[in-house]
Amino acid sequence: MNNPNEKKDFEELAALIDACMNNGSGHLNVKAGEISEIKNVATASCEGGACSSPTLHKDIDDE
Amino acid sequence: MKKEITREWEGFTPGVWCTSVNVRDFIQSNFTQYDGDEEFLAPATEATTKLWDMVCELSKTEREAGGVLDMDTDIVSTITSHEAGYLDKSLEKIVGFQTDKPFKRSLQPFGGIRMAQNACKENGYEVDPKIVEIFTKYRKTHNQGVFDVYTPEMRLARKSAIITGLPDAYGRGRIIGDYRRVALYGIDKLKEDKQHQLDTSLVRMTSKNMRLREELTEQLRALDELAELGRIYGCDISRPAANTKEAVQWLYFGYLAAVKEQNGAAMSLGRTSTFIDIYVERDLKNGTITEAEAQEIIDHFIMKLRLIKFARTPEYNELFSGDPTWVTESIGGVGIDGRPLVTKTSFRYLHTLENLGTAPEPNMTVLWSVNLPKKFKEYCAKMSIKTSSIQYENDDMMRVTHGDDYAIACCVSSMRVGKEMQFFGARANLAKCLLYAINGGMDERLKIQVGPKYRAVEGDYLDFDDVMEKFDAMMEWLAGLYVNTLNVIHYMHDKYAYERIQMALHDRNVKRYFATGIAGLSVVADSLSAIKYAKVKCIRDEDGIVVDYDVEGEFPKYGNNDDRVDEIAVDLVERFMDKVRKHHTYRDSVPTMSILTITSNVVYGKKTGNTPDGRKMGVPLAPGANPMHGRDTHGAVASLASVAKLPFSDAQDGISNTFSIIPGALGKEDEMFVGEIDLDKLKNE
Repeated sequence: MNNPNEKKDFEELAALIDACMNNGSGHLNVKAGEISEIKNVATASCEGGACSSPTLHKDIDDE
Repeated sequence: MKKEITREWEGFTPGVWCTSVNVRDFIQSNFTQYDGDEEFLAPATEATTKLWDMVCELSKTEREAGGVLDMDTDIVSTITSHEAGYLDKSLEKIVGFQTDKPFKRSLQPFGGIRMAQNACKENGYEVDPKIVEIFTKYRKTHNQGVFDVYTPEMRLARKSAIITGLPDAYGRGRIIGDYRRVALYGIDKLKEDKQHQLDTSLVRMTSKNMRLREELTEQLRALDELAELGRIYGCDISRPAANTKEAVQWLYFGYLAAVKEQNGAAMSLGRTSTFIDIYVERDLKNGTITEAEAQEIIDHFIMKLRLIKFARTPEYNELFSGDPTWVTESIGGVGIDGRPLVTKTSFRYLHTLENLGTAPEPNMTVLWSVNLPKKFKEYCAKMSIKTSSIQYENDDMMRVTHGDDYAIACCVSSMRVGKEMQFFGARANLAKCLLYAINGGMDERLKIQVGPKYRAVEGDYLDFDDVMEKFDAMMEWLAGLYVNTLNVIHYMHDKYAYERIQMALHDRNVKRYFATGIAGLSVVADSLSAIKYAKVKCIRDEDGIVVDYDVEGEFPKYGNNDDRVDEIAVDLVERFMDKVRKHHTYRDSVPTMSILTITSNVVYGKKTGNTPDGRKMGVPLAPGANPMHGRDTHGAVASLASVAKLPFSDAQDGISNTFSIIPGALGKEDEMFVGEIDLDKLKNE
């Protein structure tokens, strides 16, 4: 069972995500530690994602 | 397919899915919506804990060894290349590794042999010379194919980084096979369906028809090898899965076959939890499984996904601060009939974050709708707070385009599972393009001619109309070069590193997206704003190349809800996408654009000279569509308002605007934050 304080946190965060999505956010990361951090993205994001892949100058163009 | 209800399907509600490959219909006809809370979940079993302890120990050893524990150097990875490998066979409910043992990286030279060699070399290994000889003398790679065709101009654009992120030396990724099909139908039925596709394909031998027929034949061959992979592990996957354990195992074999052959950035899993739940519900109802056993199967499955590894170069790993694979699993969402697709197994997947501990892989992605069950939302919130390991996508937004059986590839790219795919598309650096416009195609860093030798700007001060005319012409050149470079890459990837098992788990007629992207939007908007509203003096080097700028006076900056500069940004997006659309795209794919990425903007920044907005060479470009750091002086709301003006129709693959709030705790500050952000309202304003 979740304790009442924790439960309130969960409800509030769920409401927050609801509100963000309802207001047009496309992609949301929630990172919580000692402090909470919410990264909000207007429609979609690729933060740190695979589409950040670089061109790898390790192959034929080394020649 | 033959009209028959197989023994393995007993207990399921029949439907269209019985006579044609249609996983969505199976799910819609059979899933059990769950609106309750997490109280039913079971803790990790003893076997799970023992196995996970072994994984943790091996992870520690791998870190101590410098990041790689073992690498294949003499076996080219294929679906059937390795004997079975186990952590502890007696404990594992779900089996299968990419090689013959955990933590051993496979050798995948089809994307590029030298990339494979470098990955080995930089980790202290050497690829067997015979393999090197085969892949340099006798078997062409994707990388070789690309460079055989690249024009000198394309190579220069790659070197100067006006186009970057090009998947021309390794797998492109982003294709999600419908791995559920393996469990639901078994290989024999899938082969029957695929054979029918081949038999009914056009026989007038145009290049297009020949390519399709060859690909379908390759897909059939891959399905045979997938069946063999099952046999290697003692499983007969030629038939449909008969229970939960088999359903998860069969599905995992499909995914495993894909990652044994492809090392793409982002090898996503799809949308599997609600599908698997149908089997769990049937087994629970039949009394052939307990909750603890169901959770154990899911735990072991997720454990296997966490152990997917590729041989990468340190350059790649440094960029991403680790060893990412982006095994994205999409969970939840709502059906087009309004029923939430949340099941008990949606909870079970997220519960692995407790049973096994937190981890970035697989990339658990909740398809969030305001209509999801309240208790599921709260459980997601709980797991977010406890683990920080969940990302959320707006299902209400995506369902409109992709229906209710789509999944996310990588982090944001949505596609219907088994029906749509994306050609991943790198980025065009618009900031650098502006500098080329100013310098007549001369690269400001390398001091070589990269772009066309158009007339460079003259005089001491930049004139807005003159710069815009030159910039428009340079964007025209860049859009054409960019699309054609991507055409080369995707043509060669199809030819020399075709994703045959992933495409075997697709329909024959696939909708293809051609993803493009731009970087440096806010830098260019601010630069043009400076030229228009302030005075920008050119500072030239000894050869007359403009290498720096002296900005005199103030100018409106992007990210402050100021139409004077926001309209410049909107115009840039529309112009560039219009120019992209003018060009032929490989396999009639639909061009989309994204304006995003964080990390690569750091890379772009390093390779982009001083810009007319006062940004200095080497300073990272602002992430995605974000305003430059520190320039959005009117707060988050104004920043979002600026981004909200960008035309979504021209950037279907996503516009990113990232900012953080760091409240002291959940509560009032968050509520204020939420209350202020109303993008729709802001857009209308």
